[in-house]
Amino acid sequence: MRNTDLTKIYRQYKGKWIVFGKENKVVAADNDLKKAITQFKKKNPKAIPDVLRVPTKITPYVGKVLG
Amino acid sequence: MKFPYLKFGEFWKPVIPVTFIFGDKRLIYRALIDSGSDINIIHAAVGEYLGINIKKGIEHPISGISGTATGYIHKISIEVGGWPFENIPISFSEDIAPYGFGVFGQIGFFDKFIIKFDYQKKIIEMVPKRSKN
Repeated sequence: MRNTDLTKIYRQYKGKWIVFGKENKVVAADNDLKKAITQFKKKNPKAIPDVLRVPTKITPYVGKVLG
Repeated sequence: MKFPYLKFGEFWKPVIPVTFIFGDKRLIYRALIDSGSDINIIHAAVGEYLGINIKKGIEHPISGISGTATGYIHKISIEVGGWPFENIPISFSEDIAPYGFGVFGQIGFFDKFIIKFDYQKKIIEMVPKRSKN
């Protein structure tokens, strides 16, 4: 069962793009998506990047997609 | 297909991975399943990585609780749990709040699946309405 509690990841990577490896472990991160993927591709040239933009804060969601 | 909820702080959220395909590029992007969203709204950076000229899409306003913003709609291919779907309208926007997720909404997502949210078990179960579109 892969890790489903991303609280530690959220606290460590707020506002960044992260790339996941196995078991939801973070294998690359950057403020810029392309740079995060470039980091990932250096070690995993053929793998498909699995990305998340980590929110800067977690609040109750009520359609706050817009800035 | 089943996906787990993901926990961020005190909240469990239905955030799932969807593969975006454009030309020879593929990217798995995790976003929130949001029945309150009319459309799919995704970070513009994802489209840029895929090689899409974002501003050549259909420009449209997006309204939310925090105001209005702009998105650009393109139709692209996606895969969800291994199921392929083509010509899915995706709005790419630079205006997603820094504290927000991209969202999968009614048109181009909920219209493709029967979706069951089991918050108690922290599982989202999705059944495609058809194998191909």
